[in-house]
Amino acid sequence: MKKFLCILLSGAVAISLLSGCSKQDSTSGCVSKGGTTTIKFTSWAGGGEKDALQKAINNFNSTNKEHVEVKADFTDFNDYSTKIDTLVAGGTPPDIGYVDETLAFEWGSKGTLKDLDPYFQTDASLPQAMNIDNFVPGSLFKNNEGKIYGIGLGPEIILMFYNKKSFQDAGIAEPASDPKHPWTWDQMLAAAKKLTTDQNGKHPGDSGFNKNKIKTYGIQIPTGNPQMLPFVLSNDAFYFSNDGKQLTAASDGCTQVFQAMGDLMNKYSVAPSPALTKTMPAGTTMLENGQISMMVDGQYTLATFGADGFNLGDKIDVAPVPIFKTPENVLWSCSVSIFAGSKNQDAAWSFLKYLADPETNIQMYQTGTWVAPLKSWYTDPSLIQKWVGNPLHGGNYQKVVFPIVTDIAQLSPHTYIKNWNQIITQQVAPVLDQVWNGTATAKDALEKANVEKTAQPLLEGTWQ
Amino acid sequence: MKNLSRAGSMSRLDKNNLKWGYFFIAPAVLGILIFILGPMLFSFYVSFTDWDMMNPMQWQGIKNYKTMFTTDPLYWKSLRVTFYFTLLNVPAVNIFALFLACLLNTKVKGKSVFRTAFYIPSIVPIVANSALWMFIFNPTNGLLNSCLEFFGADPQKWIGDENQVIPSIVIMSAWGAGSTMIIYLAGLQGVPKQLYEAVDIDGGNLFTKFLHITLPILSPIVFFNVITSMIGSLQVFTQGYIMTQGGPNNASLFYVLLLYREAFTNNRMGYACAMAWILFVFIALLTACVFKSSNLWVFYENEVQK
Repeated sequence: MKKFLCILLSGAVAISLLSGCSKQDSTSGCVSKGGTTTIKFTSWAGGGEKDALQKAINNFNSTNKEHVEVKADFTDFNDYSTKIDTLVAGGTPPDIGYVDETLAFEWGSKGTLKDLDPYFQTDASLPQAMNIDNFVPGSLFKNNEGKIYGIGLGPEIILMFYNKKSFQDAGIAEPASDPKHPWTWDQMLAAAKKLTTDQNGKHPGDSGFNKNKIKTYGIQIPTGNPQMLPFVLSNDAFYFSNDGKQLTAASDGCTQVFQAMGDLMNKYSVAPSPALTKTMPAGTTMLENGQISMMVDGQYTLATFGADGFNLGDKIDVAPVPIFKTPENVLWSCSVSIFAGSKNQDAAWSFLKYLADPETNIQMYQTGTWVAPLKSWYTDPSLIQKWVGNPLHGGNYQKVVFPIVTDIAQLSPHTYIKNWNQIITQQVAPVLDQVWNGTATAKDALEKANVEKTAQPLLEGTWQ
Repeated sequence: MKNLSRAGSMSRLDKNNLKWGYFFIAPAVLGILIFILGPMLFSFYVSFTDWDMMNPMQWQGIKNYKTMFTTDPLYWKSLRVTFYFTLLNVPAVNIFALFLACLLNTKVKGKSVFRTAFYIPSIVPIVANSALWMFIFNPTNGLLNSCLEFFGADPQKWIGDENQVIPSIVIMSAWGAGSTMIIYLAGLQGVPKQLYEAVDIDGGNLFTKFLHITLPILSPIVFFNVITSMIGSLQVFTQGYIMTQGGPNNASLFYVLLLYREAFTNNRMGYACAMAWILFVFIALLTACVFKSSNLWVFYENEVQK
């Protein structure tokens, strides 16, 4: 009896050991009983964007005629690419999913993403509005050979949101709302000084101002890319030469901008440094409370304001970002791509078509998550009304956003310069930490780090 | 114990026992072979290739190893950062743990309460630990800066400052020295009391007792703890990943953090595997050095000629 129990026990141990080897149950490519094809859609969307996507998916699942069921898998942004790598390496890629805009061209050319051009050319049921030429520049991941590796469903631009009450209380005029004649950097700085107060109510420059005890900040600026690109571009400067083969991040034009940004944090104390921002509540919450008066971030931030019940023109509003010399902006969108390893590419395409038509997916645009990717939605009044004819898109929205999307913005370079992540995010950005901390000037920090030399092996040009 | 060497043959009972022995260690051995040794050998192979996990591997020879030491601008930085951390962390943890163990070895009321209190930090999951210390290091209203302000000192930037980030992480690590302390405490119990009495008779104070009795007797334990804490320190990762992401300005870009980034953000699996194996070589070399030096300073009681 004892021997039998021993055998049973060790057998159980052995089986539990082997269970660790079993493959993950994959939902991609299985056809369930009713003849529906289940496809897996991965995304890093969170907050308002995730809710809107889920609504769109539920709608698609209940109304589509091709018997396709979409199962969504949302992963936090930081872990997203690791997860996709693991899935692809394991042979079970998702059928369709978000692809980071810095990776879309690379993965496409390596064969991980499916070329969508054949679908565009041959699909008879493609709506007229989804003609390739009708897409806003930068919303299709099209390379020089005409291959399309993904559709950018939600083009984004950079905007400045501000709290109207803070300006009223301080007695200052609101930021200029004409994107062709926005506030200059100096105008923004002057306003920010008046809007920053410490716990005793003093402003920067007043005697007795305690910069360690600030209660409200004038402005919160981003120190990441592409969010800070409009600042740099507006000074007629950029990190790379035109062909992407030279790094010019230490040029005078760029260091002027970096230094001005750092001065906001350390010299004038009107903006929190990134180290401080990490410990504070979300920017949107702080803008709503008046803890910050101005906030520069992507258009997608509007969705969070909407979810919190704040409409433009009511307590908050939007303005173009402050510039150094000329108005500039960047437009980009993460890609929604079909994976080449998917076994249900046609089903994935039917879902992608659905997502790409603003008509069928109108909540995403009405809730401020995305701006429309099709040109006609900026010129045709009946279409304009559909997505911005609501309280959320009140205030200066049309006045500011439309000219930026159609005239001013350029395709954000971080989508088409090779090795952008390794060069800018991993090598140049850490050097700039010294500028945000105030421990070195931009010029000194960049010269000392000699990034132009160390980044040399990575400068391979552009994808387009 | 039964003598198994009888004319080279084993009794049936012995053979039976042996069979059961193999059977019971089989899961553990299989586990090591399949989940540890196998992947190790695979990663050794991958380290000679260029692999981004999506496309087939491409043989590169020793190119990865060459790139590491010559053209990667961050590699040497990460080595310096990791060695600096180890140099600070090993003494800090061991001295602090030994200090606590000596305190606990005295006749103090509520000894077991203190012992538990000092030990608990070391079993807090490291991710939770990192989140907790991010709050403590908070430059505006964190615990440490609030204490400093209370005493009228300037607030510090802690993990937000290039020069302070590694010492800050060492402080956090010393807080978790509980498990090392327990080992020292156990070692302290093994010091013969008559040696202390001999010092009392010959005339000597607490200091003499510690330096000439406690430390030498404890030296094998110190040896063990130095090696384990050194190996652990060279592999530090979570604190960098959660709290600083390698910043500011790469001042906390630990070796394993760089390895993780190369593997999963930059999709350079082959390069990352090469980095992993070089780390293995470093750790093995350093451990061998400590072992060799142990002849000079480690005293084993049973070696003394009576």
